[in-house]
Amino acid sequence: MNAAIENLGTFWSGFVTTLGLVALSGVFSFLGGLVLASFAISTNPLLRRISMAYIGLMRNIPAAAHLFFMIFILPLLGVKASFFALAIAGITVYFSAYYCEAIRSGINAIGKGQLEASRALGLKNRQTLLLIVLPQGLSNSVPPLINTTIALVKVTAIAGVFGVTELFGTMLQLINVNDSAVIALMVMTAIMYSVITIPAALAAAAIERKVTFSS
Amino acid sequence: MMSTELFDRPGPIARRRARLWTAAVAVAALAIAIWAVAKLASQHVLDGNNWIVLTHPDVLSALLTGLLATLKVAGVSVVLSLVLGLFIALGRMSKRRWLNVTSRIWIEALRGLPELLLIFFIYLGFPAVTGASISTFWALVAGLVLYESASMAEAFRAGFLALPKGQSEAATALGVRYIKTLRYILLPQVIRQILPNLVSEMVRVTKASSLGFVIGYVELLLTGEQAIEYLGGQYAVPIFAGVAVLYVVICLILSRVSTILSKRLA
Repeated sequence: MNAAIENLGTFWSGFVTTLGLVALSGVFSFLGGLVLASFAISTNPLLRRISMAYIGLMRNIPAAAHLFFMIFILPLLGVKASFFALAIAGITVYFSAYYCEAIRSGINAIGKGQLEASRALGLKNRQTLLLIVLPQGLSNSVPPLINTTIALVKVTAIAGVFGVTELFGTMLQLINVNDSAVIALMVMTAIMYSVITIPAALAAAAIERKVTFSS
Repeated sequence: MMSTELFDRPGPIARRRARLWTAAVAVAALAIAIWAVAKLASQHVLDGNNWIVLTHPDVLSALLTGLLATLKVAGVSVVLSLVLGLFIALGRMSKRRWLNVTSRIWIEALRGLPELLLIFFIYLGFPAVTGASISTFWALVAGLVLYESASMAEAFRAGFLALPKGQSEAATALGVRYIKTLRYILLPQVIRQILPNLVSEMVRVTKASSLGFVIGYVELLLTGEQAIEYLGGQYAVPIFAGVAVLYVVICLILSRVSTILSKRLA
């Protein structure tokens, strides 16, 4: 365990990079998901098709393949960007589809009566969307959004293999120089991931219980 | 798929407006597509000669071999995680406190860790602890099974909890032992219920098996990478496209099976 404790500072900087990766790609993916979800519930058939095609395509390509494309292949085509930025791009392309599904599941859970009532009150489509559908839909989708974000945290580990020194990449580098302390270094990494994911999972479960009780 | 009750059925004015917007969106999408094609063409990505590589028998057979290796990992992992997940679910529902707590910790701990880290735990940890070596295939399978056992256990538990209580009560009243109740009464019903779940599990594992790329198990993604290294960068996009299409096709077929199954069984 000594090797892990001595390198706590190195781990910490990896941890911070992971948090940065999660925050940036999380925000971008959420925005992408919001756009895709608004396409999916649009009255415009073409937008609905685009959204469905995007989800069907991107969700079924593995995360590792997305990162491989961004970090290995794009530079071959003359794109110049840091590994960090390319990793964010790859994760965003992949996770936008999942955030869209999370938001849509929240919107689909809105009671039909809400929409009938808003129509009966004479609200326009845009008003229904902004005042009735989105506020309730988004608050319904908080638990799935947290769960999707947990999945995102776990996927960022793959970026460590593609040259980003986040938590997993840091671990790989440390293992390279202290190969006698493999287990301790891996346990330390596991603890640091759990520090993010386990409280988030508990929060999602607690919010879900609260939502089911109140409705 | 999408709730259609969200808005009123559009009238003539709304339909005309929708048509107008559709046209506008189509023009915008077309413009983006043309821009992308021009950009790709300027990098010689679209040169037909590069794409012909996908019809080359060696490339095709390499990709198909990679696909088979991917499916092999996915199949073995799903079966093993099914078995392990069942035992953990039984432990989680057990009245013995230590069993219950252990399975709960197992589920919570493993669900919070990246699959890649679990694969490395086996791949580097197993030799470090036992001194024996482990093949990349089994390291990949074991890591995936560890990860998936947690979600499989939760799926099983949900299946058991959804069964009417009368089923096991009737079995107890008839004097059927626990193991037999499980084997002949509860499990057949639970499996039926979680079958669609299982197929989507298969999709997840198929995608996750691409992590074999990292530890050097030659599955579909690593096959693609090796082909690109061997043939040269100008073939990168066509070969990647081939790999991506294979993943998408397999996953779409599996998702379709899952939808059909859940409709059949509902």
